[in-house]
Amino acid sequence: MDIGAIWDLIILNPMINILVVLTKVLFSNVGLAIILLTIVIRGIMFPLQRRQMQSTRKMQELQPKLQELQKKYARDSQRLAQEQMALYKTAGVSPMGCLGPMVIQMPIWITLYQSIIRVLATSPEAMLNLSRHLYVSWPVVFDMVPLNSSFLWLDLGQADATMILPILVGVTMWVQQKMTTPMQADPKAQSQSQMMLYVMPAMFAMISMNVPSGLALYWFASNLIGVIMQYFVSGWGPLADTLKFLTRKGSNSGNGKQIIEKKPSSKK
Amino acid sequence: MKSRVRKAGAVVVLVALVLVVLTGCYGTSTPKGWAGVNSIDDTLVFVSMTGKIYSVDSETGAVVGSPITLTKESSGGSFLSCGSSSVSIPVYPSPVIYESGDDQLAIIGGTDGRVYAFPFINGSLNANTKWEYPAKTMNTNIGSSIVGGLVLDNGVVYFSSALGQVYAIDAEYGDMNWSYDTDSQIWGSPVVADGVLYIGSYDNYLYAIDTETGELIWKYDAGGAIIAQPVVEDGIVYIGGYNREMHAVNTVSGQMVWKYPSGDKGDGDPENWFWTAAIVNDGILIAPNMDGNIYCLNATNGNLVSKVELDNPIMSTPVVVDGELLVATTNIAKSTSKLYAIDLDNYGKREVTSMNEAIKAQIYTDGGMVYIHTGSDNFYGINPANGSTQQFSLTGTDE
Repeated sequence: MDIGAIWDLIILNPMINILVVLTKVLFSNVGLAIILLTIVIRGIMFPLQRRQMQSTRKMQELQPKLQELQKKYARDSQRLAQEQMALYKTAGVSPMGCLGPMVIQMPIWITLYQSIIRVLATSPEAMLNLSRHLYVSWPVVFDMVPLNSSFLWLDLGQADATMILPILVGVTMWVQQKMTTPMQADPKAQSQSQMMLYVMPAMFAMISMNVPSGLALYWFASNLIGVIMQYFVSGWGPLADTLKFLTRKGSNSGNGKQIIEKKPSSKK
Repeated sequence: MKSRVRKAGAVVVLVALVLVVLTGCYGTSTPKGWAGVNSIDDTLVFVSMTGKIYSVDSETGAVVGSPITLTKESSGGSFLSCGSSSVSIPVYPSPVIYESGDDQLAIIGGTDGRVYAFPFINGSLNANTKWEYPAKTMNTNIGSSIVGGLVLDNGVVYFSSALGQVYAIDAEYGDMNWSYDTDSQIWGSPVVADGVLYIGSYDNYLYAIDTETGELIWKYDAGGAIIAQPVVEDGIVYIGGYNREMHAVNTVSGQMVWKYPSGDKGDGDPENWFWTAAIVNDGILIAPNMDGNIYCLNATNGNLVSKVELDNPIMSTPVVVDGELLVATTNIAKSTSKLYAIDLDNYGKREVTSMNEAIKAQIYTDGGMVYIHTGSDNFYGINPANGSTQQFSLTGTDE
């Protein structure tokens, strides 16, 4: 059995069939099924996600000290590395800590993404391909396929011509990223992080214009859940600086932890 | 260390993006098509996955004249779209051949939502269409792809759009006689018998439409979406569906005569879709299924007469040659296939040939030979008696 077959057997096939069954349970509405499955999987992944968020936050909090070290040992890279490692050790932070959970989650997200593509089966070839993923012993999946792809104003098998969903994907992704992107003292780093802050949402918005809206719905739901999770882990964060009305609500809510890096000069 | 973390993060994000884009392109790529073969006199007509139409001498296997390429301008090559400025048109339906007096036309329906009628001149197809529907001057299409097959009956071409319109077009001049909107997706082919067109839809209904007026006569709820082409014999229309059931419906009343399985599904019943058309032979309905079995049913009462167990899904309609049913099975995951011959007297099977290519297109037979268009876009002529196979070498400069 090759790795593709193992992937299908263990991960992809169960998710495809669960998605079809959820569609049946949710009034034959595949849009609701995509949203619910995204919520469930994000819920299952939450412990990993929280570790990732906390690790990112700790790294952000260490930024002023790291910059001090960089200045102090600008001409001694070996010493700089030693001091940085010592700082991480003292703070109980692993510099790669945010990557582990991300890498573990990635196959799950890719599988969910592939499941949505496959159940929407926008071409006859895709429909034939879907047939080999369905569980013969689950009659309900054969009763449901082909799925009715209508959801609100959307045909989930087609791109959203109204552009509403791509815009929502871009906006929610921007909000999510803004909540975790700290102000950088270094102008170069600030410029880079600002670029990423806009490039990624813009890119996903544009991709959403060209793919079946079922995928865009998944991205939108995933972003929205991510924003909610991020809020409960670290508050509105830097987003509150941009959207001032959140500062009051965010900070007064008892969970509006600001992750704004102080400039080194302010410490002097 | 910080820069390493940043780099690693950037790599992870980049990989995720590439995967997202690649899987997106893979999963939602434009359809490839799987048009079958047709013939007129000694000329075979092939339509490739790259939108090329070949006239081929069936005796020598040589391409006659220049191939014609169906292309369209893409919607603009937008950012990250998987297209280019000029793309070939995939074709699902097999070409139909219309003959009237000296006129000979190959009529082809594309996923661009247009129907093309190419005239034969001196044994080869001419790139200048006699007509197109909608007309060239209208610079438009029927609103969606043509996935289901084209059917020619009494000088009229019948076909459907993926969005559910059924059309009747005059084969000589390309004028529309009528259209009927089922208001649901149609990927299946129609069949015409005794002045009535039958077609299955994704809304679970089998439609019976008057071919003269284009008016609905009746519609029958088959309990599941339909992609297979119906078959009509002795006042009964037979249709199989995604719900793994085969239904026999009275052509006059539109009422069910029988269905198979008759009760709740159990062991031994069809486990997958009826994707392709059944055929009726000597009072037996021969219904291929995607579970790799052929269900041979008594056409009158739906009782199971025999079940021929093959190895893989059956996606293309079988043909009967010299008392044998020729049927292709395909392993979808591995893209390999086998051609079997089933003896219709005792349902014994023999393997004619196997190949490392999928067979999804309709099998075509002419002069005792079987012609196949594979998923790797190759065309083969196979002698079912001994399995000898000829691959057609399709070359030539576009006209």
